[in-house]
Amino acid sequence: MAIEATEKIRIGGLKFSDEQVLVRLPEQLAAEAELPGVLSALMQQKINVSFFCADHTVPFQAGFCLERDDLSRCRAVLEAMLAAGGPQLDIVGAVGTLIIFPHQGKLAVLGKLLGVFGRCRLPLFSLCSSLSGLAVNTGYPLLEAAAAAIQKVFVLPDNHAPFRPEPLAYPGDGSLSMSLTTPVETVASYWEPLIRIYGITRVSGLSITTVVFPETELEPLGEALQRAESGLGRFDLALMQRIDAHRFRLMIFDRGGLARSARLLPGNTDHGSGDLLSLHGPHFQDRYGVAHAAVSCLHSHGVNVRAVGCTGSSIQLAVPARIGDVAARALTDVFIVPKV
Amino acid sequence: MSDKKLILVVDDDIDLVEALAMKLESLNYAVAKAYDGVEGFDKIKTRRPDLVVLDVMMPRKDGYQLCDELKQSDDYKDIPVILLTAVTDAISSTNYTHMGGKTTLADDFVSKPIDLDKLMEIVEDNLR
Repeated sequence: MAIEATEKIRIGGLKFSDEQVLVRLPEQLAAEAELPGVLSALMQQKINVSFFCADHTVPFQAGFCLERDDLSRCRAVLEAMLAAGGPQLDIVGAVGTLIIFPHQGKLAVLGKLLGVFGRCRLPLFSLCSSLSGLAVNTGYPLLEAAAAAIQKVFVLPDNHAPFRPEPLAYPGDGSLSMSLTTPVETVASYWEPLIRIYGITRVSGLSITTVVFPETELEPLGEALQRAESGLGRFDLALMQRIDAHRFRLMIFDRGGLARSARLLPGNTDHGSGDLLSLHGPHFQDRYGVAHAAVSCLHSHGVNVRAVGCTGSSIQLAVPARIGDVAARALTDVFIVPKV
Repeated sequence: MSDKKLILVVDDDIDLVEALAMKLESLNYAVAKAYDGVEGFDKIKTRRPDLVVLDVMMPRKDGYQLCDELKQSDDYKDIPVILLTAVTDAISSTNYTHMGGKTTLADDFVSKPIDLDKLMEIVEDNLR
């Protein structure tokens, strides 16, 4: 059933992250050939990356979120990879990730969310969808304001309050009645040579719509997405990053419907096609090296990667059309896929 | 009413809920989803599931509390509960020690990161 633009949409909830830092790579390091080295450097420093987004359309864009405590080590290894006097890392402090879920693959949900940020002039640094969530990086002090604005256009469950990261518990704090050698239900920080996941979904022949637009058009773009395909538009992956101080680039992977509605979208629109691999289950917040495993594996197999989106418990890799099967087989070098 | 067994998945990891739902539906189960213990209990009262897959650490009401409520209820104690937990090594297969010193009885558990093949086996075993 089509959703009217003025109609509130029911969602399952909101999540907030802890305070993060967003690092945007200069184009030199955002290039496809350079990303494995960047991610390897982060992995060797045992830095958890809670959000990672890369788009290898020119100008290349890549950015990630990490804990503030990890920033100095991150800067040390990445700045060593950059030429003195050239473009440097762009670092945004006090960033928070707000996630709405489930998006149900509906462009109307994406459009309403973008519309809220545009209408309320909330900072929006980047966006990426996961299997269930739409993750938006905004100012950490503004998470509550963003949540309040979102609740004017989305219906949440009764008595819902945004989920926040759980406090950690350790054996030494006296709260445990038995001795444990490991923390209870904590966020681990570990690395695995082979990463267990819950499955890989492959979708072939997706349409890729790329829109470059000024941030003043964020609300109109959101409204246009809500109207796409008469309000029934769907997407498989959405990625958005700033390409400069005033413009965004949004990539939407879908089954072709958005291309038919592209004339409604403000800004410059381009179209392409590709395959999409979605890996389910690697908890980004729980370990380091996950994005590195995926990206470097495909790189070593000679598979071009058009875009990468890592957020929540999802890794999404856009590859050229008809390469999805090859890429999925390659990924079994580093990911354990269940037989079920 | 569908003949399919209904499994309720309760976890605040939203993508895990979705991934598990996809897998369970592909195995011909019906799936209901909840993202915290309060919503989980509401879903159980609305439509009784045949089995619950339940995360431990969740907002509002954690998995231990929800499991306790179910197992102490005459109406719900027979619903199999499978706990998803990062707690390993120091626990037995069905008895857990809550941080506050309480114990709770689940029917089985699966450690995180989840071995999906094992989880599906446990689900199937508990639905026989």
